[in-house]
This record gives sequence, C-alpha cells and structure tokens, in this order.
Amino acid sequence: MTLARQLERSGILASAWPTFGAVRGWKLHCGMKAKIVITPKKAVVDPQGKTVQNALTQMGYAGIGAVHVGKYLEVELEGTDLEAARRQIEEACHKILSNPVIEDYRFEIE
Amino acid sequence: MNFAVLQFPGSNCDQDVVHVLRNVLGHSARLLWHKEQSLGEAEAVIVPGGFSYGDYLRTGAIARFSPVMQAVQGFAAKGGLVLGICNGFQILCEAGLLPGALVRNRSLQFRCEPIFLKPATADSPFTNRMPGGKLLRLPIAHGEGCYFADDQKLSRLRANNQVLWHYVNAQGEPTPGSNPNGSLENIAGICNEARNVAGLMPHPERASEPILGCADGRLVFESMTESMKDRI
Repeated sequence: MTLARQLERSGILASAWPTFGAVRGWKLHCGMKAKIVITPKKAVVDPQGKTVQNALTQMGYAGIGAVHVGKYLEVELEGTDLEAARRQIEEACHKILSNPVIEDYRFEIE
Repeated sequence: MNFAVLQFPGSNCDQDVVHVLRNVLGHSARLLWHKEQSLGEAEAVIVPGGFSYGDYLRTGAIARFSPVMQAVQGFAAKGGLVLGICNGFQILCEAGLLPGALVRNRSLQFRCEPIFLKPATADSPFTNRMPGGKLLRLPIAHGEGCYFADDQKLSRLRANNQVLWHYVNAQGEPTPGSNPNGSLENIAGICNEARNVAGLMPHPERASEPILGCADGRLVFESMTESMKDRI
C-alpha cells in the first residue's frame, strides 16, 4: 500500500493525494501508467477514417486531409521498474492488445 | 461422426450448429464450454458465430486465449478438422490457425442478407461435396467480415489453392456488387496450408433445412463428414 493510502486510511489526512501530487517529481507515487495508441496499418482500408474525414469536410473545416481512427488504451501498472514495464507492455501489445496483421502500435510509460 | 461445438461467452450460433449436426444430419454433437481443456472424443471442431466477449478489443481477440483453444491448436496441429463460422473464422485468424484478418465492413454497415458463394475448389474437406462450382445460397450477418491479408499472403493463398469460397452474383461472377463487405478478391472463406482448418463468414448452419429457405449450407458439413469417413 502506498504511503499516501496508509495516511488516508489512518485518518491522519483526509486525502493524501493533493500533498503527494505536489511531490510527483520525487516519484513518491507508486505505480506507472502505460499509454498505448493502436492504429490501422496503412495497407488496410479505413472506411471509418474516411467517413470522419468526409464529416469534417462537410461541417466546413477546411484543409482536412486523411483521417485514421484508432484505439487508445491506458494500462495502470504496479511498481516502479520502467524497463520491466516496457518489456511487459511491448509483449502484451504484440500478443493481444494489437493484431500485427492489421494494426501498428506505439506506447509510452510514465 | 462426433463433433465438438465450442461455446464462448457471447457465442450465439452454437445451438444452431448443434441442431443441424444432430437433428438434420444425424451426427453426435456436443457443446464444449470455452474453459474445457480437452476435446474428448471429438473428431471435428466447429467454432460457431456470435459475439464472443462482446467483440471487445477486436473480434475474436480474447476468445483465442480461452483454455479450450489450446486443445484446438493441438488438435489442428495433428490434422484434426476445424471449421470456423463468422466469429469462429475471426477467432481462428486471431489464433493464427488461419492467415489474414477480418476487419470492419467497407460500407461500415452490418450486413444481414443472403449472398451467393462459389466454391473455388472441391479439393478440401470442406468443399468436396461441391464439385463443378455449384453456387451456394447462404445468409450472412456481420459487421466485420472484410477479409484482409497482405500481398504476400494473398499470393500464397492463391498459389496453394487455399481460397475455398468467393462471393459471387447469381451468375457466378465475383463482381464488386456481389461483395457484401469489401473482402479482398471477394474472398469469403479460406483454409490453411494443411487444408484441415477452414473459416467462412456466411452461416451454413442457417441454411441447412428447406424450411429456412435453402439447404445449401448442409453441403459444408457433409463435405466434412465425407472426408472424415476417408480418414477411418
């Protein structure tokens, strides 16, 4: 349990988050978050993207080029080992979160 | 003949497949819950249609990791017959048992209508009862049935005679108008290189009895049992 949660539970602080939010730079918060973006491969026809492009143009937005519709996932992770997390997310992206036949992915972990 | 029909959370064509196999064709068929780790005495496996896991993440993406799929992989590796229908086809592609993938229909519409299929070859356990390119009239009901594979995979499919069915019009021509979902080359169904695993988007189990309008679908199951007889 993080120190913040312990303090909350003991009643010492009504909420430790504002306090600890201020010290994020010192990484006192535990846990990481992976932000993953999955997009259709260029070779795959993207009718959804085309439809959105048409809609934007019809609404009057000028200069709209191609639109591609993808997926955004946030995965909360325990611990602080960035490298281990990167390997884990890389494998998960390749194995299940994306289909390499039709999708590309990229992610960052913070 | 003994069939196992897989059942995932969200499958909804499992009962229809069992009904056709048991009551129409007189075979032994049982439902196999996705958590089972053994196929028992099954001589063939059907992966039925539906919306396994609500199509969450991608169609078939989560179902492919169900425990029963390990048993199916082993069964297929030993040459066992596996047929995926609609969502089943999607699951088999996600599992890597079939090449390529199924994506959202080009029209973005969910298409629920009868189509014509033309078998591309009678040389498979799923089309051996369809010689001479006899057209099949089958219903489709899907929103993500557009078959995609890169150029390399497509040439291999063609070279190895792995495309089993094309969408065609009533005259048997693979026109754009007869393609309900934008599948490349009007591909409606394929098999693997070893020819023991196949998938198709249309529903043969919904067209196996004359009372439903057409019984062409039973030819798919009859082809399987025909080939299973040869194996004994």
